[in-house]
Amino acid sequence: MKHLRLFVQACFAALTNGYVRGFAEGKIYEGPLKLICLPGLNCYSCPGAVGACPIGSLQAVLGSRGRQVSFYVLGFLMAFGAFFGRFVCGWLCPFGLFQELLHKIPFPIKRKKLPADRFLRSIKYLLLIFFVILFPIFLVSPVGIGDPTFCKYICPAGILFGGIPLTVADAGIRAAAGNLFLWKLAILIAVIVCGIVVHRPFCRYLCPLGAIYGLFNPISLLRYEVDASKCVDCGKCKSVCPMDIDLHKDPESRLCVRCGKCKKSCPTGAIINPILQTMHKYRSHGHTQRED
Amino acid sequence: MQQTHRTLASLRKNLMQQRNKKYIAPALLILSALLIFYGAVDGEAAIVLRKATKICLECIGVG
Repeated sequence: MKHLRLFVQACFAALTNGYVRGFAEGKIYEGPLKLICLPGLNCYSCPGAVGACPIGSLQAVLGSRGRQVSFYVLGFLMAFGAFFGRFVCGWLCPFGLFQELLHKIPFPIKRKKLPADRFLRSIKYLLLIFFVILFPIFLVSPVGIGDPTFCKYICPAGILFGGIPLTVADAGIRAAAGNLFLWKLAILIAVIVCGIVVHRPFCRYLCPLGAIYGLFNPISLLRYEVDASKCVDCGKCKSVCPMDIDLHKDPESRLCVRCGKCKKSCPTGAIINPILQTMHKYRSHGHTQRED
Repeated sequence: MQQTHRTLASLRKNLMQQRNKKYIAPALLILSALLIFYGAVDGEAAIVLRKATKICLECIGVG
């Protein structure tokens, strides 16, 4: 099916943000499904969100009194990472979908990365360590509660999916929006402008959730491997890769969002997913046995 | 001759790494289930639910 990935992204975004009443009434879903962390960057203050944001949840637990570790959220992150790796970014994250749609907007300059790319890529790890983990634990109020500092000062998904719809729908929230709202709006506008020119700049440089899932890329069940006996070093995988990864040399890249363009373009079928390949072998073996 | 030995040794090492790799994800999935269960029992799930079911003023740029 053409555009399968876009279809899956759109369906998953609609499914996980399907509380339509929230948009109409300027409220958020308050049901028990919000116990469950969603895999992508999905602000739980989006009026439509039916699950919890894993990065927001992590900060909420770390910022609560007397806790320095969140086993619950860590479990979700580990499960998504071990199964999907950054497949989440490429297929399930609504903010990833938003950036891909932005990049489709016609503009004379289109780039895969910014100058000083290597340095910029390290920023997401710094944001993860300081804004997501350390600041909520150690920068606490007099009563011992830490702010969700990444959500508060950085996250553009929160302002896009939560802040803007709620300020539009609710006069009270609109009246309370001040300098912090403007700051976050400025970050969102910067990501939007950058996203029109550069492919997925937030995923590449700033997303702490992508930073976590990228660590699982080498071992996740949905990982890519290169069959060296089939690879002819043609370089097609690198030329089609929107994240500018030389996949035949670096199949374990932490940037790879599993969009599948390299697999489709490989002339020899050298790029494989070992799990899907094993399943395919069993299925064809089953067909052969039945024919006999 | 030495080069062949080195190439074979590196291929053997890669093969072992590939074989070991396929056990890591299932082990992590089991561990993650245990972590989620322990965290839920320890009251962390209630913290997540409490936070997620109230409008996060920090997230939307208000508080």
